[in-house]
Amino acid sequence: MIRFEAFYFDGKSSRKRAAEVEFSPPGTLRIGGLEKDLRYPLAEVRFSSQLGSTVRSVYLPDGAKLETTDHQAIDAILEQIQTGGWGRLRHLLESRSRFILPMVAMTILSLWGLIGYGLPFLATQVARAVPAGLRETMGEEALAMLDGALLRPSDLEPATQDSIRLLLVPISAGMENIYDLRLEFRASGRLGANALALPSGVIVMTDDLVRLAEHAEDLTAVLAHEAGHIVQRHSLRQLLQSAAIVLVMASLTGDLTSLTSLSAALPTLLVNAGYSRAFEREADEFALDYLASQGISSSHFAHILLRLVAAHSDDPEVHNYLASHPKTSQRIEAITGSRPRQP
Amino acid sequence: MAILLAPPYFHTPFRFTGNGREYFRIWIVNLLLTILTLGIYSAWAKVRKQRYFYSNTWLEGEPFDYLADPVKILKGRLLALAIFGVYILIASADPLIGLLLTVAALVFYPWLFVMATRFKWRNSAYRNIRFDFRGTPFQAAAVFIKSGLVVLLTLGFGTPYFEYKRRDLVVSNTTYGTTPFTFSATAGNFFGIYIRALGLVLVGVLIFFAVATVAFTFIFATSSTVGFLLTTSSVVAEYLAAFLLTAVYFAVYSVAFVYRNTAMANLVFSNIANDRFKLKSDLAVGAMIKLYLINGVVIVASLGLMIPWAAIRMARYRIEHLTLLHHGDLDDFIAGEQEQTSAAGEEIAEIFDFDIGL
Repeated sequence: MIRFEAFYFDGKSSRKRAAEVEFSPPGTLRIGGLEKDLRYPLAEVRFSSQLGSTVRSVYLPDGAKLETTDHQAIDAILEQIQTGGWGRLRHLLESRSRFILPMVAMTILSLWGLIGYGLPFLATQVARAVPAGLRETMGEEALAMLDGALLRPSDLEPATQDSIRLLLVPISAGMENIYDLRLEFRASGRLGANALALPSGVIVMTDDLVRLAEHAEDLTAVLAHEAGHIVQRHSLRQLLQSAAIVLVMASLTGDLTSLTSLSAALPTLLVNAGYSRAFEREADEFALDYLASQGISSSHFAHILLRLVAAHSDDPEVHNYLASHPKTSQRIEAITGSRPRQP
Repeated sequence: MAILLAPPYFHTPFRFTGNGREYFRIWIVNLLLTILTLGIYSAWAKVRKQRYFYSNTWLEGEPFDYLADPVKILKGRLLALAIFGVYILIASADPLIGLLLTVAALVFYPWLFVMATRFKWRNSAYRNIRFDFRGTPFQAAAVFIKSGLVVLLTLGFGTPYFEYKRRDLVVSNTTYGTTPFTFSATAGNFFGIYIRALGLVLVGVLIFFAVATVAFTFIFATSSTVGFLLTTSSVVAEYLAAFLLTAVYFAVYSVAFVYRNTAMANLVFSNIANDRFKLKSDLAVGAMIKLYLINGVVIVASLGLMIPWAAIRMARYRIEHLTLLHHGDLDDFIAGEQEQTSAAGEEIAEIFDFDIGL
């Protein structure tokens, strides 16, 4: 027999009444102290889980409700009918000071795991499932937008263009899932010497980049790097990961009001920049593997990277946690296996 | 302004008993389980968070109660997530269709608004009597179309009217059991708040120019008198001036923003009434600015770990500045008939960041 005191609300009016509740095994809840005694089979009664030091509610099948602070009695009843174990464990985690530090550590650790490994893994799986048609449309749209804003038609001779396109053929042929890689040439004052990869399999190379190259192998290295972006579906993954990161940040900072939620924007930027640098490293690795398979020295890749840096020396190059590319010296170190000399 | 409640009446303040230490532990468990379950637990986390704030809000010796079913919230969230995902993919494949979709979503806004408010109200109870929202999507659509047109035609100057109509829609259709609420604020009250906020911005702009003048005079003075230190000192002064100007700019807009929000909360809550009771909210702008400021600094300095502490402080201030004026006991409110609703509206509105409720 378990007894506890509670307030009774019949659910029809807002009247508050003191009541005496008795639980007698195997499973009847008797409520006394009202005009007439009430009896409920325990199976139809719902108990709220313990939450801090807030009052405990007992929801009765006819819409009435009991409120009590006698958590011991409620837990004893739940124990008798062998439920509420999870609720007790959770309350233990939520109420003991000695769990605070382990909980914080585990949260930080699992957040790191989620952002560093979980989301990239999921994004890769989803990106693989995106149909070719959609990738095609996304790429076409992106190219049309770039053509409208940043790019002009190329000034290169058709013969030059064709000779560079030939460099792409072996890259395309070596790829396990046959992609329709296509090379487009454009002139662009603002982008300077640059190359872009679009999800549709289009690589855009600027005239300035072609002029910057001293050997065909330099361009092969750049093409292999961009092909790496395409094969590994980096633009789709970036899109998915940044959308997911917004959701993660929103759920982390869900308690904030608009004025302070600005502080969620910086972590989002940092994480996205981190993803972008990881993609660049992956594309570099892809290019290195390709160059090795073709017997081309990786020094060509390092060479063109250094020349690119020199060509962009007027741009303020951000070398920090917000940068979209890893530091060039780190990239070259990874490529040549040694620290570069200053150009 | 119609005062429905005849004196004499009792003043019963709302009490808040939540505390930062206790909520922190609930919050961190919510967070950890949400991450470990890849977001599935977030529905349970939401219910626990809401329950914590509701159950620690007391009126006349009785706490409020949050009754939402986590499974319904999870279903709503999954649906919202699916819609969000499809939207992101389509919008990135074709920005134009994405834009059209956003416009099309506006058509569903009144429906979302009604569903979300209804879900929130029906799961809020006090003394085992639920609140309810009785507005219909058509009613909401009529209000949004009419006041939306006013905003468009006045090039944004009609915004206070829109804000007024939105609150009026919510409050006038809210019931506690069978007892309806009435909203006695006027559109004029809302215009008054916006005009005063604008006045604050104007005063701020004047200060801004005053500071700018002093700063530039200083630069000019230092660069003409200090001979060989000219370049260094003027660079330092320029940075200082730029910093000061940015600070003033940010301060002016923050103050006007907090003023608008605080005055609006006071106005809305103090005009919720009927013949049985009346609410009164007396938040102070200065105290709110201090709260936002300290909360912001502490959250950033603690890398987010003090979010629960900040949330509790904010809730305590807001709730403890709310008073119920009533005639004696609160025993004889009668429950209304209602069936349960889905959480889809609220979750979709949340994921797309629509402004719902009061």
